[in-house]
Amino acid sequence: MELALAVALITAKVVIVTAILLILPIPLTWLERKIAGHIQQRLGPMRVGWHGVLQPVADGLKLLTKEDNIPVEADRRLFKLAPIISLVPPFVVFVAIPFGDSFSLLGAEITLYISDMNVGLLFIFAVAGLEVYGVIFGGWASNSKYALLGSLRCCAQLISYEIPMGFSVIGVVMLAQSMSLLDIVNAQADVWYVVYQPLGFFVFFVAGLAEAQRIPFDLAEAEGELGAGFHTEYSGMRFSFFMISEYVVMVTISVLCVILFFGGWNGFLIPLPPLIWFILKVGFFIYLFMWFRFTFPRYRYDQLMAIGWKVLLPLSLANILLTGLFIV
Amino acid sequence: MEAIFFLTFAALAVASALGVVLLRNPVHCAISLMVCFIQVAAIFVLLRSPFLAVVQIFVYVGAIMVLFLFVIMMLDIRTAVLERFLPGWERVPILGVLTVLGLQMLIMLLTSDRLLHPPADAGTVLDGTVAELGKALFLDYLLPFEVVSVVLLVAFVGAIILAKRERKE
Amino acid sequence: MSEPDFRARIEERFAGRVREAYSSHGMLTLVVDKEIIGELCRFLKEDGDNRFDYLSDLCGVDYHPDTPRFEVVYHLYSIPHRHRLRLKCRLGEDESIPSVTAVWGTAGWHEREAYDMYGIVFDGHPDLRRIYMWEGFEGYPLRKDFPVRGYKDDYNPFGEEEAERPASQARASAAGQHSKPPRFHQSIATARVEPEGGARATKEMFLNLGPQHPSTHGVLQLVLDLEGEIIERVDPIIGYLHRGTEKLAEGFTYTQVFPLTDRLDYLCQPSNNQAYALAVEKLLGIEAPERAQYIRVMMTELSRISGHLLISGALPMDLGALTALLYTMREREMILDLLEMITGARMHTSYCRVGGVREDLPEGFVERAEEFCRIFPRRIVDYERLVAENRMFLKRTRGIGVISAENAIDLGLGGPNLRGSGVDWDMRRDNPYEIYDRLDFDVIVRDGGDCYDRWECRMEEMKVSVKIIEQCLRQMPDGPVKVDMPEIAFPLDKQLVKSSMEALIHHFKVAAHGFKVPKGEAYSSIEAPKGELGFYIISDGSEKPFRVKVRAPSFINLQALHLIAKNGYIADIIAFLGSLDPVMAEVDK
Repeated sequence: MELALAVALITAKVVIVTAILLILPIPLTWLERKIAGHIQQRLGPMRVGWHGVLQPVADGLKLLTKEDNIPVEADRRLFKLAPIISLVPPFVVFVAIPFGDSFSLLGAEITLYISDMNVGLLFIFAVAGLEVYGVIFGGWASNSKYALLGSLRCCAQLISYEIPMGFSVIGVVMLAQSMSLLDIVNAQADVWYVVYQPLGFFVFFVAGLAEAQRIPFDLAEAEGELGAGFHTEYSGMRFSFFMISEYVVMVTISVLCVILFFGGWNGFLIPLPPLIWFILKVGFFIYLFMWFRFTFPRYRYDQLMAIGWKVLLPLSLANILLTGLFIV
Repeated sequence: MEAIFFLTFAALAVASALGVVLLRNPVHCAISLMVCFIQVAAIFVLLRSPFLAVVQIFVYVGAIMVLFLFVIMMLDIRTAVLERFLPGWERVPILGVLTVLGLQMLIMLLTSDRLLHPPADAGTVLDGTVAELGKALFLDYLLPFEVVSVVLLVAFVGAIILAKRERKE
Repeated sequence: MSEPDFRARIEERFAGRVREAYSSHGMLTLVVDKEIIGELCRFLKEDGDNRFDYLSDLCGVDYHPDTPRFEVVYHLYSIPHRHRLRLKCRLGEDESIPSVTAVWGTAGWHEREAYDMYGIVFDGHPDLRRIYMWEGFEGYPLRKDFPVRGYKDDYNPFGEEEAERPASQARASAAGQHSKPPRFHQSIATARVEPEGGARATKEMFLNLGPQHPSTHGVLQLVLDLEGEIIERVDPIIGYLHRGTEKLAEGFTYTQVFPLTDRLDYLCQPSNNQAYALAVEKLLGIEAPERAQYIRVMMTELSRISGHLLISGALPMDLGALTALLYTMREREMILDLLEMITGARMHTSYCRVGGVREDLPEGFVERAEEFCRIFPRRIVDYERLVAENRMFLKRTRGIGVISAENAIDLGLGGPNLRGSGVDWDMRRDNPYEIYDRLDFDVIVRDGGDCYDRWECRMEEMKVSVKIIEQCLRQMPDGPVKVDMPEIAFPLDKQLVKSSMEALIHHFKVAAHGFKVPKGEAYSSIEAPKGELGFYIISDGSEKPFRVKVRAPSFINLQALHLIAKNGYIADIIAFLGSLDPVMAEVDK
């Protein structure tokens, strides 16, 4: 009975998280287009629903009904597999992400996370790293030169930025003495780690932009040069899988920023429910992502590599050293 | 329950490992290898060693395989010519050696009492947590650890020098 | 150095070999033998007192059925001395002429064009291929005996019957290797560099960038040879938009050509109109009234801002910063509104007429224009803060696509592309036309020659243009906006047509038949937003031009693309293209 209840609870949580993540791109695309519009001195979508709120739904319907194109010489199986591979890991990551502590319902203690692993942080990095396969396979299987160039870039980029990203959080782990995200958040009850780890946060955020393939590091799709990069040949729902995955990764990076450096659901000054605090903070980072997208140009491939290896990596190592000295 | 999981993962691991060798398209081989790594990681989890499992995915699947694919894509091999790696008659002694080795292994397995009295989980030896592992590495096995890292560094430098020379030619 | 001086020097040096020397509409014209063309050109370029370092234009003319049939016309310009010279050289149908690519790099595409359109073969040209028409096209479209509609084939069901094709057109190209047209316009096999070092060397890839690509700004195809992401070689393939403006113009009256000029650089139509009108006016020996000149200059400057706005927003957009384009589009909208107010059209204005402009400015225009001049400089500050101060933008454009001053002159670049390389030359100041000599303005020059400098030149030029517009609005006198010549222009007062028989007849004649232009030739060029926009018109005395040659600045600017090829990245070629600012409609004519 105990076991059955636990399994039911976990299943319910997984379903809820998955559902939220699947629906999330709807408000996010609307928000992105609205923010883009207002940054660019125009209104953004206005036609479908009040201020265009139903625009993403219309877009979704359009994508669903679009012809599913597969290039003639493509590796058909891999071509179909790639969007799924790219979609699954960002969702799996959320197994390890806590959204809050716990609350009691009908006398039972219900935790706001699916699993609190003692290697949580490492798990997230490991699984998030798998997302690159979708991009690689998508680009390679399309049998298109633009797609191939896009996925080659993506390969090199993700490998290069995973290293400084991994190193940048070591400082946090050293301070919290744990890799469990729950412990990390609880350790920030008084002071957020961004105070102790400004350098670590900077490296993490920049590398996060690169991991999420957003401007100024969106070289894998770089529409100015490569058409649409790795998903040049994709259409319809398969294309939207890549898009959903991009949004979920963006949310993941924002969530991680909040959990690792901005105190998770710990509020300050204004007493709000923890979950609201959490959502507000995550929302701020998502907004930051979008703001960057409509402000910056993108780097060139070699410049991107130089930043990763010659700037971020030494900075992240210096951060570890400084944190070590600080703790001692 | 655990045995069922183990058998599933193990069978998948073996099947995908066979795929690595038998598939014709190098990218498909790489995918099989990736699947194999993930199965091995799952087995680590069953052995109560989540840290190793995660590291397995992080390093092998997340980094090394991506580099493999990078090279494969750079060369843009779509259908590799599956070369026989040895001419016909030379295969006989190799097969013989492999058979003997296999038999040896089987006999060792069957005669050992490990099958009857399985040892304790890896987890109970090391407790499985990262902190324990770190202590073991940096206190009990510090010297071997440092030696290994120096060797890796040397290999690293060597690889860079080799790659650089090749460019100049 | 005055004109008689260098004329004397040339005649002294090439005594007896210059057949004829005369001045035609203010330009010294030398008719020479084709044998001395190479020697003469080198002398003209390198001789310290001549220094014709800039080949403005090179074109073919077909005098069929006269013999010798063809003529190659060179228009030279000297940037240090600011004077012009025309060389003409007749040659028969089967004759070839020495190439001048070794003297001026810009001749490369000019000669390819003449070869493509007339079949004139240039000896010693390193890469004499068709340029507008596809490899395998048969016939030479600008020859007088080639029908405007072309010949009937699978792709052209409305062409003339093949049987009527004259013998001179049936001949395949000089090399004789083109038989059947390819099914599609295929990319030309580029000379492949064999990878050295055997199997271990990485494979080269060739990539077709365009003709459908978001960053080529039109239907431009680039065949790139890549080594990883680094470009080894680039071969631009143009002509996807080739409409044969020059051929069409030969069948139109002088006034009917105006709409054709609109469709060249479709971002800056008023300047195209102006350049063409000036050329015809030169042939007629007339000048537009002062007010019309002010209006033309003002509209050209408006269109210069509009063209520059688009490209200075498009360059950051190609580099990923979409927002800049939407900002510049906002101001471009204001300009389009102004143009619409004057001409009724937002895009194809067709506003100039020979001897003036079509209509006077509408009521309330001056206020609107002044308002624009007040708002716009503030907005430029916005762009600069958004783009010019952005480190990433600087990283992507500083030191990228550097063109040295010598290269820029040699390739015949113009406008901001030339001035961005440190060449201080602006025809508005150096060879003033219309009322530019009464205006006070700066010429913007930058020394770096990279993408950023070209971009910055455009930014600064927009500020200058605003000043020019303000001065025009202030100085503009009252008066008629077209010449009082009823046989050329419609009467100033339309009501006159209803009361005067003579006016009605003139009106009818001008509308139905156009007007006759005296026999002769004239080359007139202006400082268009993209560079020197020239019209070379030959008149045979009828209502229709015998030959109209457009010296399209974008076409020539685009030729500089190969400069990026050495060790540039794919991403760089996008930045380079964006900073060269080619408008494909003008490139393809």
